[in-house]
Amino acid sequence: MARIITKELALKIAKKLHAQPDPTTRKGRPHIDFFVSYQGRVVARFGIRRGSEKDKGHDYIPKLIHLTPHEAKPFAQCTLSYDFWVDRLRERGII
Amino acid sequence: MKVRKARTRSVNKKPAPRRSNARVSRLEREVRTLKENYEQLCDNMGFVVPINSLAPEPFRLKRTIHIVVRPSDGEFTALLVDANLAMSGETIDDAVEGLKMTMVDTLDFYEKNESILAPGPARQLAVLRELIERRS
Repeated sequence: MARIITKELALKIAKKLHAQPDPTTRKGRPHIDFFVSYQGRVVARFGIRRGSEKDKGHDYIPKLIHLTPHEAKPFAQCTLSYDFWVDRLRERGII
Repeated sequence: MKVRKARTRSVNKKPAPRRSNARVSRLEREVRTLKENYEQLCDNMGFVVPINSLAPEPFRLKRTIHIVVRPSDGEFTALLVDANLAMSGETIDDAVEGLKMTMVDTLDFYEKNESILAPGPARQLAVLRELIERRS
């Protein structure tokens, strides 16, 4: 399967979701953990792999943020809005 | 009569090589298509890895769990489907180890923030608690 979400896109997704680094992450982990809050409640948590390669695969992220891979890519690339993601969370009973 | 029979035979034999060439070409095309489909299937196919331990993390598994590992464009993604957790790695070992760490860290984080979990993460926490416990 071709890579859909690269590290570069994963970082864009984290920024768009206002994800915060998990302060409790243990040292020496091969990934940095982020959590996402909505209206004061934690709605998702995902890790972004360490390393300088921008094309590292992060195809697992869409599922963790409750989007399909084909929604997550345009979401990272700004075609789909933050409100679209909130609607998806409601539809899927996450919030 | 004998001459006629000989002619008839030679007329019937001529198209045979053409038909067999066409048949071979068709079979080659079919084999190529099947080979491509098989390779595509292998690329997308996952396999199950049983996990018995979370050592050296300070957690223990209550029972053997099964995670799905899928190849993904030269890398691997390990998934714990029940808890909706996943992690990628360059090798199968990296992906599996990464997922184990994610399971432990997620349980830890969600337990510390249990009062502010939305229903989705609360479900994940419930699943993780069924699978993992702290080592005393």
